[in-house]
Amino acid sequence: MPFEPGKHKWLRLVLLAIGLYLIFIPVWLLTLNAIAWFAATVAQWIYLLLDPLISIKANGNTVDVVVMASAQSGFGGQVYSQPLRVDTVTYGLPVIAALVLVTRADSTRAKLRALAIGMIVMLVTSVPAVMMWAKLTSLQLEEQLARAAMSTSGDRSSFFYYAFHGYAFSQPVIAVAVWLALLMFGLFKDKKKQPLSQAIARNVPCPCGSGRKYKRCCGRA
Amino acid sequence: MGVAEQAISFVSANRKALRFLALFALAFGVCYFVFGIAPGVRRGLIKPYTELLAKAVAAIINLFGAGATADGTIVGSPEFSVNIAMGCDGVEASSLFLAGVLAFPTTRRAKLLGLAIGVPLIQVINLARLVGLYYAGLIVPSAIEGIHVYVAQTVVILLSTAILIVWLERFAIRAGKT
Repeated sequence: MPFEPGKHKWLRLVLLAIGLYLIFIPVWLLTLNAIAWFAATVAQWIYLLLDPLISIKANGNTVDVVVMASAQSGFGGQVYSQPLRVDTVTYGLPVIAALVLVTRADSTRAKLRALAIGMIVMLVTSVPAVMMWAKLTSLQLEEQLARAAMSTSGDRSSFFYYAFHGYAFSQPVIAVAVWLALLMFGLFKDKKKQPLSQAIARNVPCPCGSGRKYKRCCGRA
Repeated sequence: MGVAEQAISFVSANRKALRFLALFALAFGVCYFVFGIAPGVRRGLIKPYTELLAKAVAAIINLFGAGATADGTIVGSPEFSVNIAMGCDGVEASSLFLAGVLAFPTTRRAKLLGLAIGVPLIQVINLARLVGLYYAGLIVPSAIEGIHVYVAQTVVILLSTAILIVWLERFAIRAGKT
């Protein structure tokens, strides 16, 4: 298993990560508008393919989901909207930043690469959260219309309610999982350059262009 | 090298890590669904446990003269009240630890030892968080939402991660080598 916990004093580093996380919270709060714009824009692109009656727009640090009832429902034009606070689904971002920064890496470059990949993954996970919220909003409208029409109403929205809140509550868990993945895929390590003698077969023409075999030219012991 | 070849090479080079991560995600999802979402388990197990947590919180803060009572999942005192709702029951942190222990390839004995020590320890940390939140609400009521949502939850998860890694280091990897 490519996991070497023995190189760290973990309890001390986790306490340091908690401290760093608290420092990063104000920085993350300042970026919420941009995160909301990104998540809303991507979620809207995807949702246009699935359900054009749903509109997803960023509004400051919230994402407004507006659902319009279809003409077939008998309530055509009725609109239902719910804002989503983006902070509740992205607080894993400062967690991953803190965890990556306290983890020992072979070089600053390796650490920055791990940080960038971790942040991108966490940012991307905000999109399904917004889409889940949009689905929840749409189901709640359906249930309201079903109640208004006195027809039987299912309780499908409650599953999405728990799934969404589970996702939101689990932001630090997602960050920990991403961090474990970064550790296990060796992203804190430098990609060591393979020595030329190992990379080139001995009997092939030498890459220096001499026309001789590699073993009789640059690869001579 | 094409994208497909790169993907195959990545999978073959990281097979063990991918297996651990897939099992970890699956185990966390199953644990979270069973203990956090499934209505029967929430009603029959988690709600009574949360009520027990509320009684424990009331008992602890009463040691310091809070004069609190537990009514269901609500801990109330003349100064401040807290409701121990979904997300405050330690399910996420315990599921994280459980998933890590179940997914890591080691002996059954090491896994049982980890679960026997780790899960109760995480629940004690969660209890400390609830007591801390009560006092945070009492002292800085204006900041309680931020402390509740961002700080307390994350601190418990990170401490659970530390427990998981200590288990990996002290028990799981050593047991796997012998």
